[in-house]
Amino acid sequence: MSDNLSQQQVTEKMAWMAERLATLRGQLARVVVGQDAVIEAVILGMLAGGHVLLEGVPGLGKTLLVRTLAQALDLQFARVQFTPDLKASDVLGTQVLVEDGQGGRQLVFQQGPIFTQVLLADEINRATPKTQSALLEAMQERSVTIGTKTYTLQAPFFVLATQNPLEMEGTYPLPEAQLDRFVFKIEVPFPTTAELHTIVERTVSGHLPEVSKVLTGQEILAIHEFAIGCPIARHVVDYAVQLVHGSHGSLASVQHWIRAGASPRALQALVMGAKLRALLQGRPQAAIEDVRALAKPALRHRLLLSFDAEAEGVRADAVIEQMQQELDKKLR
Amino acid sequence: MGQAQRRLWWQTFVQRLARSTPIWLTTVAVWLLAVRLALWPQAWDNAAILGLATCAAAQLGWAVWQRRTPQQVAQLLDRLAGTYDALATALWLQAQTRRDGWVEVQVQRAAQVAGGLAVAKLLPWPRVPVLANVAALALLVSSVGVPLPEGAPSGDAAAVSPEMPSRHAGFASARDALGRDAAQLLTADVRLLRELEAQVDDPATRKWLADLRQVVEAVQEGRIDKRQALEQLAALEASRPQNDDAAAGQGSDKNGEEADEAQRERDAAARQAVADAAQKALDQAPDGEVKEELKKAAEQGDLGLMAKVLEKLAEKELTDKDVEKWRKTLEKFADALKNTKVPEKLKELAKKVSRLEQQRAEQGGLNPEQQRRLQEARHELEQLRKEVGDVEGAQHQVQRLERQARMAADELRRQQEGQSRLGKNGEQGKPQGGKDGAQGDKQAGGKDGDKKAQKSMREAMRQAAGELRRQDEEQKARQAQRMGKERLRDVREGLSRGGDGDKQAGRGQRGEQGEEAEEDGEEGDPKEGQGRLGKAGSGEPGQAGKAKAGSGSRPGQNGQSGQDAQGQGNGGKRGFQLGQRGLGGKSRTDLINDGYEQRQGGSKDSKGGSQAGTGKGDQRDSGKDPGIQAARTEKVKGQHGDGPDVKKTFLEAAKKGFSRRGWRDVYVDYSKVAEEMVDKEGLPAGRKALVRRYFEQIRPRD
Repeated sequence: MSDNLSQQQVTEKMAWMAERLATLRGQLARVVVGQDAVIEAVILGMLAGGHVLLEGVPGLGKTLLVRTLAQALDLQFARVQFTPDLKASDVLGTQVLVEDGQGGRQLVFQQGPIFTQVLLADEINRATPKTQSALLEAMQERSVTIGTKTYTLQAPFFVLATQNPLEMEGTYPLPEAQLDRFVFKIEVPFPTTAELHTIVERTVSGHLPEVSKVLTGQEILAIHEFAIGCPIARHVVDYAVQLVHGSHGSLASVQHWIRAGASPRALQALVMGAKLRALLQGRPQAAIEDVRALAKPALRHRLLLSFDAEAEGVRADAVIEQMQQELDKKLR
Repeated sequence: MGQAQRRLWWQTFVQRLARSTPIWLTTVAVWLLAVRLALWPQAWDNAAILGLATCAAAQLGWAVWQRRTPQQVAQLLDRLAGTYDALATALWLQAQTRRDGWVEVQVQRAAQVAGGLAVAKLLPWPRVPVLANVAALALLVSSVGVPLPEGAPSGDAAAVSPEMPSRHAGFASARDALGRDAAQLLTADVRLLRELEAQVDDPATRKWLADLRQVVEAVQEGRIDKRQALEQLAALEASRPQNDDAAAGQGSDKNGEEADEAQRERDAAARQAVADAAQKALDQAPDGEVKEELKKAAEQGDLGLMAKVLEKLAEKELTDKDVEKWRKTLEKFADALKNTKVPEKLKELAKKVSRLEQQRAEQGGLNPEQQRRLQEARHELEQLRKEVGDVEGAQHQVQRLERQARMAADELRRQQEGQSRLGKNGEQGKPQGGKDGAQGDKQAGGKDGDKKAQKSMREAMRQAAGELRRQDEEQKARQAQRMGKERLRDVREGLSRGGDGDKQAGRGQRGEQGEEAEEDGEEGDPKEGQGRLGKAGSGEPGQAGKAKAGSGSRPGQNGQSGQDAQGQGNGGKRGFQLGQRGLGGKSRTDLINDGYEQRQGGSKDSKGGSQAGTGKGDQRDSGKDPGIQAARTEKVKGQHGDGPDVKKTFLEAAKKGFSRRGWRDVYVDYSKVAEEMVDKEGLPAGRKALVRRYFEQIRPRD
């Protein structure tokens, strides 16, 4: 446990972690142009041991980012293109009847793509809810139950899902229970003009840079473990708690916009993410700024907006901003 | 961290004060302005001062009381410096039990961060709203400097607050000690003293009043300092001419005010007795202008006027018949003075006292209702004893006049008898000297007798007039002295209190309201005046009686004793009572009866009744003792239940419209209601005094 680390060990490990993560970001940056915030959030989600939902219009490099990340990590990678006719068994696997060498037949479990360490669930909202729900156990328990047998997934395991917010026809919005499993929901913004220039230069040249594996699964787990030991002051946790609690009505300014607030998983995501963000930036302490920076990725998919908000076009991000402003006022 | 915490404390302290002070200053300024413009009810002054003081204290407390922990200071610094909660986290970790590499790293980092912080830069002194403070201060200063309307009583009423600061400053003069506005009120004192000087004939009293006026003027003009003023006032008080009558000795054990009060009562009773005797005696007088004038003077209780008419009579040529009638008038006057019913009244009072004492003894230890009655009986007893003392004093004064009148009448009788003898001698000479001689002797003897009778008559009238004048002057002198003494005490008290001009003004006002009572006596109607008699009878309680009697009471226009009472009042309540007593046109004994019977009516109902005291004083000539009879038969009917509340009555009257009534009439109501309200409400003494002073200033003057 990191609790027993000496000052020197902490310092060294912080430096090692910073160096590894900087390398990882460097590798990603070789392929993915811009999107630093997205990359940081994805890395934080991954290191936090959670799953990340990427939302953006097609062509912004969501899949490229995930694929590149998988390449940079020395982990098993699988990709599932979610479609309406995708079945749960297509994801989880199925039992097939096979002949054994002695003329007999037996049912053998054929693992699906979920049996990996990094799963890219592309356009996850195109699958039916039944298929989407097939991921629930895997995402939460890191295990898959087929029939009466439960299969444990190899750690680290995390799902990187993408969805397109525009094409709503023929899609199945993720249920709240599943959304809650994603530690962060990251909105992928449209690249800037400079980034677009760079994208054109890189893609038209026909030469895609190679990505080296820079981080192993064990290292990811070690970083996770190290980050857990990072202390976080009470007032920082208080801020996160008030933010989550505020989504349940304690913050009057947003009460009428929210039908259901964030779950405790949101608080876990905020605190763990704040710790990792601090370490990622070379700081030994998580700060309110970290919580504030992660509030939108951690909360936006966990807020169930009211009819009023939907009718008036108020988005979750606006509600979160309002909550933050109210909390900041209280801090002063 | 400590430095930042201290800096933050001072910053917050200054900022809070700077923010709240303009509000407070503005509030004070508005209040002062309202006070200066008489828009603020004086009854709320204490509440306002208390409220403002509380606000100031709360403001200071708010500025001082800052609950900011080091943790909060660290968070603030982190936020301002962008140090990502390094300081706050380190502080928090130090407060925890956890000790590991993480904590050490945190503390080390926090130390590095703290070392690089420029607290002064991070926490610059905030801008304070200087403009708002200056504006509020200017408003306050200007509100203090708002000039009082010239002679406006409302402005006077607002005088206290602006003077408050100066009370703590050193006093340059006696005027400073009093306060500027209170000193301005001395104008009324000076005016009153001048009037008194003009009215008084006694040289010693006049000189004393002039000296007192000069001191008051010196105080008013700031020519002498407080110490000098106090010394001079003390010397004046010690040198006050002592011309109290012999009966004053009875009250030698009383304090000064009580002695003055007793003297005033005696004067009033004596004046009333003389007036009553004169009215009775004038039935014997020959009809004519002199008789009417004397009657009028007697009705008004004006001894000076009576003396003047008598002197006029002494200059007239009278027939034998008229001389005879005037002799009989003088004799009857002397008889009436001798029989002022005082001894008889004393007996009645003694019986009443005895009965009350017996009643008290019997009712001892009884139920609450009986206890209440007992209390009333005790109070009545005290009043009766006081009345007895007054009557005895009055009798003493009257005795001198009676002796003078008797001597004059006797001398006149002797002269007439001598004249008769001379006439007889003339007739006896007839046989000796023949008809002509006899006739001539008779004529000579008759003419000589007529001349002597005329001379004696004139001498007798002059003597009576002289005695009347002397009594009138003595009473006026005593009255002037009492009023002057009241003024003296007021000014001295105001100075002694270091500028409590309100109190001073209040006492002074009482004295002048004594005059109001006097004017009441001159102008009201007799019937209503008698109502007041009843009230006066109820005693210190006279005050309570006054309240019960309601506003139906009006001054007695024909009240002789009202005139008697003129100038006797030396205190607000006393003045009113005095004037009321004089309003019924009653004899002294009538007054006592009225009061007594009214008390009886009051005892039936503790609240008294507005109809109490409706006996008619002008019936005194009918029957054996018509005044007393009338009083007994009619005034006992004290109505049960509360009389109309004065305030309510006054308001109703106001709705009907005072505008049709003369100022002199409404003034009585105004001052009366104000007086009652002032007594009822829990006003500070200073405020009460200002109300009284206000009514003094608006008092109608001839």
